[in-house]
Amino acid sequence: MTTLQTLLFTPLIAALVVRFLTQRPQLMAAAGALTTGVLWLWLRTVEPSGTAVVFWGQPMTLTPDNQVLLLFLLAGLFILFGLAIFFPSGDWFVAGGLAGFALLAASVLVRPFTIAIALVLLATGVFSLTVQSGQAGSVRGSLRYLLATLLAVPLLLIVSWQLETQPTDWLLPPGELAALAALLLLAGFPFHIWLQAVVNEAEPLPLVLVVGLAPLVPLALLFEQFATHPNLLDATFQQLIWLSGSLTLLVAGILALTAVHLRRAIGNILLLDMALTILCLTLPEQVGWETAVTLQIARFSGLLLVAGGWLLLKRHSAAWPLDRLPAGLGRRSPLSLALLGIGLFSLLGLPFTLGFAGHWRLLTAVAQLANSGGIPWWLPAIALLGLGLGAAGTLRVLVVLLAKGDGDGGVETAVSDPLWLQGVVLFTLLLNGWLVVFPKTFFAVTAALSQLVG
Amino acid sequence: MTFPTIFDWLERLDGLRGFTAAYVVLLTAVLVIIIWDWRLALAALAAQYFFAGLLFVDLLDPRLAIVKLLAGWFACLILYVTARQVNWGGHPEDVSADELSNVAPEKTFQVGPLRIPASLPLRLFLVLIMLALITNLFQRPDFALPAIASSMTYLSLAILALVGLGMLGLVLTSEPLKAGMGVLMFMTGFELFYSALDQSATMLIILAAVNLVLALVVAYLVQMRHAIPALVD
Repeated sequence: MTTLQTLLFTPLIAALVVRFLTQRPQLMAAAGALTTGVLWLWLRTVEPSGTAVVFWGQPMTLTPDNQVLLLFLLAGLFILFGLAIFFPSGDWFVAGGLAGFALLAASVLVRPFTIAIALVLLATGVFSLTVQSGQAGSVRGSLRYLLATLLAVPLLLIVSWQLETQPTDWLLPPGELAALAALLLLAGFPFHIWLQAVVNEAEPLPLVLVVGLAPLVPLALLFEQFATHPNLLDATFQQLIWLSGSLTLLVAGILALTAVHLRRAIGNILLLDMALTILCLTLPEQVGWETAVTLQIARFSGLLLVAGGWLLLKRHSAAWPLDRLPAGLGRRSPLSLALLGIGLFSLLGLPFTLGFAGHWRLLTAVAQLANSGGIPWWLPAIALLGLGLGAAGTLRVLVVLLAKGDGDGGVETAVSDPLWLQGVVLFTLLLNGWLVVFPKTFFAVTAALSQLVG
Repeated sequence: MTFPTIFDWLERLDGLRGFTAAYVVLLTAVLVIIIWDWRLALAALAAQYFFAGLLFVDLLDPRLAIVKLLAGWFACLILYVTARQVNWGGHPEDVSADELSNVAPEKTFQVGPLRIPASLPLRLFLVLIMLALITNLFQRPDFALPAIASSMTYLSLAILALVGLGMLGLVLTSEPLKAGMGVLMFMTGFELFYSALDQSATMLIILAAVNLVLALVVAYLVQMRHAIPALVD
């Protein structure tokens, strides 16, 4: 009981405290990093009992498997808050991140599914404040992000009721409702209605939080639900996911290739990654979950690199253009551009990036199933085409950023990167390279998280 | 003198329950979407929560149903305070007209003494289409909502109206307060339906908390949307 109380209430109390520090954003971020760091160290020492403890009338269980997921979330938050010390990301980023973690942790620990998914909705409400990033006038991204979850969660609650009671008359088969909910929650469905708004308006670090880290929990809950009720993955469900997933891949690929500004390019490359993740729902259960987790962790790390590169490049441009690519900006800080480029390539799963393992695993699994007639033959082709278009779009962005342009000549906003910053970026790039060449650590994390379902 | 209990109140309000409550919910949902004055729209939303509360009584213990009513009224209160703080969506009082010169005024036209937004005819048209759809779905037995008893078909009408018009309300505007009212209507419709499926106190509390969190988020977004830098920059 004490363990659960510590896990759920410490972040909430810390969130309350850091809200009083909004005038000092660096201190706020440091307090958030300290809280998550200490919680991570403490949780590592806790021996999970595996027995359910009734907490506010609901059974909650800390098992070795969900402990790993919580540790990953805490580690992710620690990194994000640590970066926020140098790159403040809005009044609500740290407080919202901590409060959202408390709700996600409750969602991971509690059963039944209905309570868990309703808690995800509450967490989304808090995260939508972090998306807003304290920028006057910018509300579309947070509103749409909230709405997507608000539409998806009721569908999942109805599905859960249908599965438990097996009513004779169904409004819609549970498979169809579950597919729609999964698409809304995990694939920015329809197309990029909420994702692009979030990418356009959020600061880079809140973007990593809501798209890279937080979706792990609904993803895990969905896979657990599918493991408990395998009949949910019926033919209609699979067809809906294949059709919507492939359409999203195509649209995202084309839009990434024709993106007129950097945020749009990043949004569509992210959408490609999300469309691939959603396809994992139609793979055989264990393979699907392992692949989805690998993709999600790679998305988090890829987005971290993108956010780092993006934030460092922004230092060189007083006004970040939303109608064109900032031509020539990469010349001022080639290492930052490298960070951004490697992050984008990682999201696309190109070889020699962290995203390669997950993408390769998915593409080979989809190809094998297509060969055996388990899925349509055109699905792997569309996945490859979408990724190819995305890669071409990324190259186009990088070429424009490197080309001689308006950013190259504007001296009034030019600042040179200090030596220590160049050193840190170089170290990050080397660390990324080391993880790519020796992916043991990366696979150890994905293997540990894979135990959660199945 | 004894203070009347919830059951006494329900007895007195008996004439307003059933189809009457469902029709008022439908009417207030239409008003929330088409009325451009935030004060009246919020009053309509508060009235809607009251009549939705009467519908909840048919599915939940009255002592639990009142939680829904109170959560809804708290949400209205949060939105009311916020709307007042942003001068009901008008220009801030402490900003001069010169400073707001780059803010395009909303297109309106004059009908008698009233100045009506140009978007009103489109809103009315879409609301009429949605009403036709709701009526059609309500009358078709193959679209009957599961778990709603045939003796309580008025609940189906209220659920369809709240969900349909709530979604319409939130897609018709980019203004967070009006969209937020649509979100809250959608949630009330879903909660009404879900109360027929699951009457557990835990879900009731979590959904009430969701309502309050939604109201707080909408209030924050309204503040940020109408912050002075957003208007004058």
